Amino acid sequence: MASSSLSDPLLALWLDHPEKAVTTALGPEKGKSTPVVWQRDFSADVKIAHNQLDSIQTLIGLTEKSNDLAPDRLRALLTKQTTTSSQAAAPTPPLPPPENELLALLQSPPETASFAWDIHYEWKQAAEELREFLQDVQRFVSYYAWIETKIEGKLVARTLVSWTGDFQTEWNFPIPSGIERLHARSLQLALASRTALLRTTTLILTGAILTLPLLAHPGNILLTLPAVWRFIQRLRQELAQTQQNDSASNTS
Amino acid sequence: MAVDFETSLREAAETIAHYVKDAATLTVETRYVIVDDDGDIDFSQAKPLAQTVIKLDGDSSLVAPMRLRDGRLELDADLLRLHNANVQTAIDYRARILSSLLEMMQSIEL
Repeated sequence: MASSSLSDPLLALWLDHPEKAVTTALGPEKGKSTPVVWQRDFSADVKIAHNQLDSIQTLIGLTEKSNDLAPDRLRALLTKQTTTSSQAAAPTPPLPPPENELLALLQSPPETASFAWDIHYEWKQAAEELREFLQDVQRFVSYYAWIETKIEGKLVARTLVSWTGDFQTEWNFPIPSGIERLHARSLQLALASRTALLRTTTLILTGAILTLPLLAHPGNILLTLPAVWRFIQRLRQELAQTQQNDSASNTS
Repeated sequence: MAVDFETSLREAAETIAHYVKDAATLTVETRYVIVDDDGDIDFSQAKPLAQTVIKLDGDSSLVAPMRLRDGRLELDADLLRLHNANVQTAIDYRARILSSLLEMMQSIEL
């Protein structure tokens, strides 16, 4: 997956491994299948290994937080825009950058006759990113997940997980001290990233419906999907920036 | 481009519908391999250690790891704990992922 596309930072944590096609007895996916692999190669120092997982947890946390925030921000924008347009021109506070960009994209999709070429370029760029993301998600849901834990390059555990949660775990005995917990944590993060990716996809779809009234001209959700995709990406960047600023001010 | 969106979404919805339909049981299996004298590992030789099957109708079964000691069978508590940790993760994951899959399927059908 990461080898072909980096459409989303969470998808980039998973790899395609066609050479690892296996026969599995897992649930509805039994038979020959090509897994996507969550492969983490850790330091033998368990403390350093957990630090490696901390940064992944932060990334997943950002996606979960932006998934939580996005619906409220979209609803607030919709309320504000419909209220503003029905009232006399009154001074309103400026919109945050993700909302600003969303409105710009919604008001100039490529089907409109506009000379705002830079906006058209941005819309097409967002549409291309979304197309890649949806293709990746479609491939992602077609496979079970393979979560591997390596220590200094040596495989110590792997768990195969079907989409509905059938598990098959293989341990390399004897299990070194602390590795059981490390693999369990890596497994939980892999599953959290899977759930977060699905939620992001759902949000793009529901957000596209929600923002239909904001289109400059009547249209369908195929016109709003790229704009909402871009909004969700920008929201995550905004949260990452805020988090970075917070940690900088805490350390100074 | 629009056709691409629709195709990807439709195919994802079909795949998800298939998963949800087949979610009547939850199977958790734990296996093991032993490192050989050269330090090599061959996961294709993994042997079963424990298996839990939980059915939607409430039935469940567990094949537990036992050890023969002094002619008596004993439950291997450490291995069972290792297996049970995965069972709990699987149960938690099943609840979350089914809810997400259904939510996604509904939004695709809107």
